[in-house]
Amino acid sequence: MQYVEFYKLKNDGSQEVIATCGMKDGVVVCEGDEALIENLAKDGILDYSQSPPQKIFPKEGPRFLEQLKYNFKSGYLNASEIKEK
Amino acid sequence: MKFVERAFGSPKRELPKEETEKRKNPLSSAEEEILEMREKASSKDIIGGCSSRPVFVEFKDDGAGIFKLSSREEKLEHVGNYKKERAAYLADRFLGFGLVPPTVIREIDGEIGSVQEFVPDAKTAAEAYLTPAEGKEPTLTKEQKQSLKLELFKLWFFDYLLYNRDRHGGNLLVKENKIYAIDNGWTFRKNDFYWPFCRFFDTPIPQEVKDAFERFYSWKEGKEILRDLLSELLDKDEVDCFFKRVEVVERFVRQGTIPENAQSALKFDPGIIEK
Repeated sequence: MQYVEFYKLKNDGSQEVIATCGMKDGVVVCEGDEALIENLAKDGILDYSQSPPQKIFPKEGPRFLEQLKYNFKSGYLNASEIKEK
Repeated sequence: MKFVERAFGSPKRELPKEETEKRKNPLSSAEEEILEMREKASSKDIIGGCSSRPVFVEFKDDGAGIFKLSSREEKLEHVGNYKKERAAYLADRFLGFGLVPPTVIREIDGEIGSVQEFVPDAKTAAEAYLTPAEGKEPTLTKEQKQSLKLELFKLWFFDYLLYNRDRHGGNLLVKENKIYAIDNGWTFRKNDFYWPFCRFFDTPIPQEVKDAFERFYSWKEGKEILRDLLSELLDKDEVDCFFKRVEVVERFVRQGTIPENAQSALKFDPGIIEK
């Protein structure tokens, strides 16, 4: 299964996984930090493969997963590459 | 400044050292000095994200920062983004909005990059309830909402001036109803597109924002100093476009709102900017 992890930066510089988004039956299902998951569903993320970027939502499936790392890259909250398990 | 430079411009103009020092000083802060001077105590690579792969740095005698290394700007379109982190801080400092955490450029372990003060205990907007989700009760009081709205307006106005193409819930922090604008590497665009976190077109500009902008706008020497400082970090075209935007926005500030159809007024073909 393909999935992406969200890493939250803590005050001591360590990171912890606060949420994951993974493919389940063709759609993206997210688990973990409640506010983050609600905001992802409500606000979506930007698809930087388009110019200008367009909003995409979990229903977009793999494209949504692929774009997470381009949206969450500041260091404070980073998304991983797509992983397999 | 020499007349010839004033008249014709000089993209790589270097000021004499004494003049540079004098011009850098008026708004530099103790926080910047800490970031610039303190020795590194420890550092950790931050995992995740697609580009820049920043490093968390702790300094001796307190303080921490997010270090973005020039050498990790791998794609051509990312080159120089670390300088824009500093440029955005300088613009914010001169505008007086207090949105961007102190940011400097320095060398750590032989690597050049931007170091931005770490904001502890902050959440990205993506982790915060700025607006209630469908079917949920609002989590903010009326006062908190007003305070946050002012902060978001300032952010929108700031991103508008800097023509930022990359502001979303992942690159702004929220802490105690204060907003921090981070990850400012895609600012000072010229004519591609502008992407704000929220939009306040046709909304009356709050007095606090007007006052701050007018203070900056009427501070002739301050604008010249900022131009010099930005010119050390950005292309001449990028600096010219920023100041052209300042002129456009000044007219809107006098009118009291920024109209929705004004977005195109911020796009400039650098080749046709009046010198």
